[in-house]
Amino acid sequence: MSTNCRRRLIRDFKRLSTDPPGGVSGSPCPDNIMLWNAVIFGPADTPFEDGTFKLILTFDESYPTKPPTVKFLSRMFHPNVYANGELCLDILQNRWSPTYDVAAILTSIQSLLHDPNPNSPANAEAAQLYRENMKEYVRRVRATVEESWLDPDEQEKMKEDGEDGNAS
Amino acid sequence: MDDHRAVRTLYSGSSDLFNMNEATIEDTIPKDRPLIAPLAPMGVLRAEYENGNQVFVQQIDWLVNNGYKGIRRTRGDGDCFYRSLAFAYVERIMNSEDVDLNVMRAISTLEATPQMLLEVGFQELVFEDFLDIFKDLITRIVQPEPGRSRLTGRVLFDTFNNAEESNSIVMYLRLLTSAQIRLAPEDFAPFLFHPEIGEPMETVSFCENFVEAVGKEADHVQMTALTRALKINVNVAYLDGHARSDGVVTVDFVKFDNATEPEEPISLLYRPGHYDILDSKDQEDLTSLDPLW
Repeated sequence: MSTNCRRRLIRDFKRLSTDPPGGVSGSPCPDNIMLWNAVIFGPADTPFEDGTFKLILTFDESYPTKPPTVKFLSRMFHPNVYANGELCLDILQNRWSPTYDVAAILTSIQSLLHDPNPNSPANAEAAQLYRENMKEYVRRVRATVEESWLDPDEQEKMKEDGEDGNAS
Repeated sequence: MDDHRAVRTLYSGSSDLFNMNEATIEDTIPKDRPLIAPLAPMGVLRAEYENGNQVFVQQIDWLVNNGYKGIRRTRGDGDCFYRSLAFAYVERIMNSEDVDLNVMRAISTLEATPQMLLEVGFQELVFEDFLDIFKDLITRIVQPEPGRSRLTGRVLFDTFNNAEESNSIVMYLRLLTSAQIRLAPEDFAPFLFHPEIGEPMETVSFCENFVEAVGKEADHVQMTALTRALKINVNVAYLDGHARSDGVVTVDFVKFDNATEPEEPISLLYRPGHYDILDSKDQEDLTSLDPLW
């Protein structure tokens, strides 16, 4: 692994732990500094309030000249998040700059939660409800908030139950 | 900034030609091209246009007749202006007569730049590694690190083809360009337009979206800012496929003169959407072993 990448990740971690922005947390896996677990707390006064949404960030040695890949582990209902948890956010794609560190990435995702961009929908249904039926949008988001409190095994079970329910 | 408008008018009114040239460039610049290619004779570029627009062919001949015999191509990844400029900048210092003086001047210019970046709010941790890589490369022209060879054409070529080192230098130049624009908003604000929709943009938004972001192509504003920050002269030859109204074919150069002392400009070649390096030589010897000091 490149020295620059490692040094930068260590400094990103120091910054995130000594001067953490509100409502986000993150740290590298104990045995792999290139893999980070993170949590974004749903911003207050939004449908996402009280949610604890888990993400995984995968870095490769081109960081920080290239962005990490970022994926939600928690199930999300949001116009800019795909069903597999990947998200559509300009700074992680065509607007990346090394001026963003892990803290900045996480706060950008946090602000995306309460300020979706309906023009680049990754989830067409969420985008449509966000535009046309706010009440139903909020109801669907609240369901993901409640799911986010469960541990991953329980979430997996709920997903399976949900799929069975749809099939019958 | 006087010539900014001139450049804009150079392209307007000929979108077909522009599109045609774009298409040709996309065909001829595959994504897997090396970050920086070895020096090649202009004939290589000429051959690619022989079956297309003859004005391009005549413009290439004009460049050869005026002493630009070689071209060093760069990957068309949107970073090509910064990469071309960085390579030509270090190469020129390396090949200069008074190497010691020119290394010292470059290092002292670069050592004054972190203050600019800090002033506009970039954190040191974001840029210090990038700057170190760039400074170390220039320092190696005169003072090899223990166990490493002195900088030669071969080492320079390999360094710029190493993605990590090459992209770090590109990133430093992007941040420096951004800092220069942010520090002199009154000079640049009237020229900050969204490159696709043409709307005026706020300084910070322009810098975040079209200067600091990886892979975003440079235009006149960025080139003015960077040549000013590095205190260098750069001439850009515009290969635009236009003949003059009287039918005579020449090549227009846009000059960025920001050196504080007289010096030969770095010469770049612009084809819409892409920059390469022009050279008076048409080949180089990259086989030589690095002389260990």
